Amino acid sequence: MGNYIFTDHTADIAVEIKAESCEGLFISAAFAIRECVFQKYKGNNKSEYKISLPADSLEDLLINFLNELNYFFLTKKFIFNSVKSLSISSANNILKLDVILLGEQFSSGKHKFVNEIKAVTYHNAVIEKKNNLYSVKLVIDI
Amino acid sequence: MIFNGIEINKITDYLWEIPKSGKMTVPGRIYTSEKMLEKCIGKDESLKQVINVAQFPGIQKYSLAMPDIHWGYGFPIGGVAATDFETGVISPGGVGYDINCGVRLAKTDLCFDQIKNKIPDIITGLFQSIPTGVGASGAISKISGKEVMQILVKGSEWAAEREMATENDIEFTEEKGCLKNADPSFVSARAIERGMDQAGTLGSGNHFLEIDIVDEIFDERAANVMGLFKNQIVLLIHTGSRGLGYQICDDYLRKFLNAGNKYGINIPDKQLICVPVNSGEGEAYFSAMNCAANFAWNNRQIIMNLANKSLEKTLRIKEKDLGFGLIYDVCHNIAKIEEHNIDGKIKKVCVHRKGATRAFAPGSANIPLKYKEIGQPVLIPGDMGRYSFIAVGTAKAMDETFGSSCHGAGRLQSRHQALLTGKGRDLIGDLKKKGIEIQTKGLKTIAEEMPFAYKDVSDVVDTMHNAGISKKVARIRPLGVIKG
Repeated sequence: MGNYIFTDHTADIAVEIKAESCEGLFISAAFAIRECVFQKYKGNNKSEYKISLPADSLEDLLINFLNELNYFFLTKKFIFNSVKSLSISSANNILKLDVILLGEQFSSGKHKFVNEIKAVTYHNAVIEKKNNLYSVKLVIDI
Repeated sequence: MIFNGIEINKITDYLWEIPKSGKMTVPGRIYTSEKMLEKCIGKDESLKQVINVAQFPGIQKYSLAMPDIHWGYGFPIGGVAATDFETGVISPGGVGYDINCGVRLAKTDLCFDQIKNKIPDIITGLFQSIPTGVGASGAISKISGKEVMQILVKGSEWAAEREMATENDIEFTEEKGCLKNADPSFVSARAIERGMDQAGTLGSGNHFLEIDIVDEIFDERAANVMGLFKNQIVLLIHTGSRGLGYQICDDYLRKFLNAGNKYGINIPDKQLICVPVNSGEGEAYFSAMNCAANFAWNNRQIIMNLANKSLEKTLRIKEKDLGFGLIYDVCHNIAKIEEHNIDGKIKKVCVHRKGATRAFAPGSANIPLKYKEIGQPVLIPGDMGRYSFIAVGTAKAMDETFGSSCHGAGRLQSRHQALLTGKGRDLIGDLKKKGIEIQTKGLKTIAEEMPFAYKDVSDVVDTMHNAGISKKVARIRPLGVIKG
């Protein structure tokens, strides 16, 4: 479901994410956030949600995307099961993310919230590319 | 001495200074004992974060840290920074996502002996009355967006209009539970949506509601004024502005991402992004933040009202015999416009308190008349297995810390470490052996919040007491806890 590992942070949660492509990094990060909120999740692809976001940098785009997901989890009570498509484009120095998520509505009998994420922070978030491997370390306020 | 590659010099036994260097415009000052500095504060990234905050445009005197300082994101948790109102900046990251996270202490007229066999029933009643846990909702009927906007303007007064707050409750809430300059037109529809079913909810993480016993009095006079006595039953509530506040912080961080270029502000961490206080952007954030602060005060007020009703029902006791009433409510994540003495001149500043409590001195304006002679009550929760403290602000706090003190114990172990430490242990049983009942939505939260995960709050409180910033009045010990 993604290449990520949760690491120690005194007050919050830190997660290190790696992927072979930038799009893959975004998808892995989405699964990391889902695991943080729900831990174990077995779901299905009953409904579809679209997210479209602009940003000036990849880091901003990633963090805004993850906070958008958190809003879907906690307020819209929508849990994604899979990522149908995810693309990053650029026009006039503005980056744009377009995502289609497949998932279902939260059901208290079936699903359980484990952590309430206040937000994914911008703290020291830098997307690096080394030897064709993309990586980022994020701090999540819970 | 050098900690984590950072030079830090002893000023007194309880105050240390990081000299101004590089891009710092003021020195850093940390209230701590040498023991705490060596054991925890010097080991993480928090000292570096004190240095980063010292680079804020318009910061006055010092970038300050209280003894419960620990590694945050951007600002250290336990940080205080005052910026010039005319030339300085305001930073959403300097307040944090949980705007007006704070603590409320309510008293009863009951003694421990009167309820000692009823603690499990009391905790069950409270757990059933007050929504806890991730995304908790439904304490009161779901309210409309228009009603949320009323809360954002009125704060605790909204609860008073619905007979969920007394005049006494309003009087003893910081700012009387309502900050002016709170315009909901600066709050996004999404933030309002997140507030619609969360008024009167505790939430998760380190938020809690406790029944405590007053187990030690240090200052009889101040305790008398507050109405505290030994073996008394009191109630402590810790929560904030819930999803509405998180959304406001996130909204404004996004809006300000490019503000650095616009205003020529160069800061070392994007989470510290800031704008001039005296700018359109600064005023918009300040107004939205005040809205969230008002939502938080109303939230704690509703929870207190639910707790009052629950206690009356469980104990089958009349209102006058319970003697329930607010002692004080303080916020510990906020930015406020205040006047302070800077180098002999009274100056208007924007005081960021991120994990720090206002601690105004005796005689200060803006504190209830009843507390004018003793100073503003400072509420410092510890962990759920040991104790919490009540203190009062001092004149020295006004001189040195912009009238601020510590806000809690501060984490010692990460949540992951705490889970490993607690593995295989009967954590609920351990608390029961200490005479502490607990009810929670998740066992994981108990492990993450166990006493071993936190510093001993008495070390933190004693540091501020000995430094003369806030003086100890009483210690309270938990008998029962509800958590998310």
